[in-house]
Amino acid sequence: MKKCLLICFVLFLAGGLLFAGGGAEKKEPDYLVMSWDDIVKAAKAEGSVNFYSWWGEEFWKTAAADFSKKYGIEAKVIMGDLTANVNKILAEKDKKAGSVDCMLIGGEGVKSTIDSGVFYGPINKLLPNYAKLDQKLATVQEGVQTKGYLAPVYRNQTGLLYDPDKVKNPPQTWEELVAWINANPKQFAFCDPTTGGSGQSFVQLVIDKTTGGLDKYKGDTALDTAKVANWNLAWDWFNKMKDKMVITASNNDSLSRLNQGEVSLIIAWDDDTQVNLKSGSLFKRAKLYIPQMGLAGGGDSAGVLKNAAHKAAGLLFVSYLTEADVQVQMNELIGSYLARTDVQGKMALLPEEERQKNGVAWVPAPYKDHFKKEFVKNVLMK
Amino acid sequence: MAQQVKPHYRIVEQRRRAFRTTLVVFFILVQLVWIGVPMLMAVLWSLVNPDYPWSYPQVFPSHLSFYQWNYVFKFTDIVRAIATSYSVAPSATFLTFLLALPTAYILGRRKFPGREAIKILILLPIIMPGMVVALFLSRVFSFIGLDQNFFGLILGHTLMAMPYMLRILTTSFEAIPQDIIDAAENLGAGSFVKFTEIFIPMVLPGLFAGTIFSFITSLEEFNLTFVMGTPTFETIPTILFAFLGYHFIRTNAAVVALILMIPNITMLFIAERFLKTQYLAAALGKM
Repeated sequence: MKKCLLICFVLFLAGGLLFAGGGAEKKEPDYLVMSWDDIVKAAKAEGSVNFYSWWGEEFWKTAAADFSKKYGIEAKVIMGDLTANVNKILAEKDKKAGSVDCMLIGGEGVKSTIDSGVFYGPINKLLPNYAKLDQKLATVQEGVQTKGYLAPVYRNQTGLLYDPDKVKNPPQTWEELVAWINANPKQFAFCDPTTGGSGQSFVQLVIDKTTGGLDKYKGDTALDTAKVANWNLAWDWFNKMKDKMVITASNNDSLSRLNQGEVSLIIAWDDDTQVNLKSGSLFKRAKLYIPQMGLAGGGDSAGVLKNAAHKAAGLLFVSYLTEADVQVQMNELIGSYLARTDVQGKMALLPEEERQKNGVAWVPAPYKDHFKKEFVKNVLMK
Repeated sequence: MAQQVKPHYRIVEQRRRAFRTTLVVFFILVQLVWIGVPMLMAVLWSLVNPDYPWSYPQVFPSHLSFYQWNYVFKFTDIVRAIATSYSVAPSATFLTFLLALPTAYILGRRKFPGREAIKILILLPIIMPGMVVALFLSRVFSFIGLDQNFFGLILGHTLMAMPYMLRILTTSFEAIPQDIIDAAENLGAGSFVKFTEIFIPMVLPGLFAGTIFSFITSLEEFNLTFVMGTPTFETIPTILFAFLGYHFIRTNAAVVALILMIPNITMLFIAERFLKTQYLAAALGKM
């Protein structure tokens, strides 16, 4: 009896495996070779799309609602946190169908996601408006070559934000800034570079001014240890000046402290500043400018995930974000600077001329990574 | 007439009363500052009128409005998140209770090899970083088809709440004196009667404490919900996190924090009224 049961069980298992392996898997269409009209049709057939972002909910939710009305595709926007969003897509990387279709990506997330190959594409030849986007940002973002996998959605820029009641002559050059910090101890703040891009902008500025400029790092795809050998000069500068400056916990912590009167001059993002001004978290008299010595700027972009359950809808949504009227709407709602170079927005804390003249590109990602780690080791932990 | 001298015991009693009053007043003042001031700040920030920013040197915002509340309700799915949070939390708490009660009884009343090691192992979900637990658990749940699933979410929350419930209940079971159990057995009580008439009433304070901890843990759980639950399920913490992360917007964060805090605090006050210590006091011969 037992032998009979065992034989039946083995046959059942074998049969199950046969049938399990016998069914043909549905082949996914290759959207990269399809026409845009066919992609739109496929997107409508998919019926829904999930988009992940980490800030600017007023715009993303509005855009999702308008997208749904226009195409009849249900667009859901989840507001997370950049790190949590990246962790989620990396956790789902090996899943056949992930729960994220497309997402906004920026900051330190760009390197980890591009290196992990989680994005579908390249999409640069596919999206109708791609050629009208800022091509510098479309090529290199956060010092990472994005190879056409990401579509810039907005540009952003760091600047010096100050209280005009307390700062009468805002510094324009490096020497003026150092003199100002010395004359006004604990009135200048920047954020920890591991938690915010505005802090990274300041660290990059210090490296630029104390170690011989940033040109030598251009085009590097890997860290050249010889080029960073003299970065001790930057860390020495920080350690010498540390007691006269305030290191904050995040981009917005810097803005909070300015608002609270604790400090009077900070490094801040233009879009963060706009959102804080709009929500009543920052006094209206605050002024932002890019000093003549230059500060870093870049932008954020959107990409479709390789294992997106709704790839066509994801491509359509990302393309929708680059439409002229949507870009203008984004600028009005959250103050972000348009990624489209052929369209002008009405809201801009920083004039285009100042961006072009004083905006500086980020150093390549390996150097950015390196200076973040070195800052913690040589400055924060000392 | 000779001045009446206060007896010594009266002086001691007066001093004790004065000391107790001072202690209570000090405690209340500390609570007002420690908890009351941050709560007041959260309420005020949630009512800031965006046309009149609240900034230094203003002590209070000059104009109030419900703009921030309208904003959060308009641009987040907070209503759905509240419904999800308050359906997952009680379900997870109940499941935690069902799983923890028998386990805690064995850990608290029985001696077996490895008991102490197990008591430490059950704390693992709270020792490990939340995101690490979330990332690996999501892989397991994805394999068995429990991600983006309501029951999967409840299971995940149960895992995070178990250490609290188990630890508290185990300690409560350990505290029950054996002579009470022996006396009940001598009087002919069976297992069911012993459990319902002795064990359960005596671990009730621990059960309430464990329930409160489990409920609040589930209500505040972010990592698991975000990795395994979104986009299908959003809870209050997943919405709050967007405002509390690197992109901290104080006004919006204040609104969501109040939505999270106020029901919790209300529940704590209600639970306190039901927390009776006379069972354990009776067991220790104090009554």
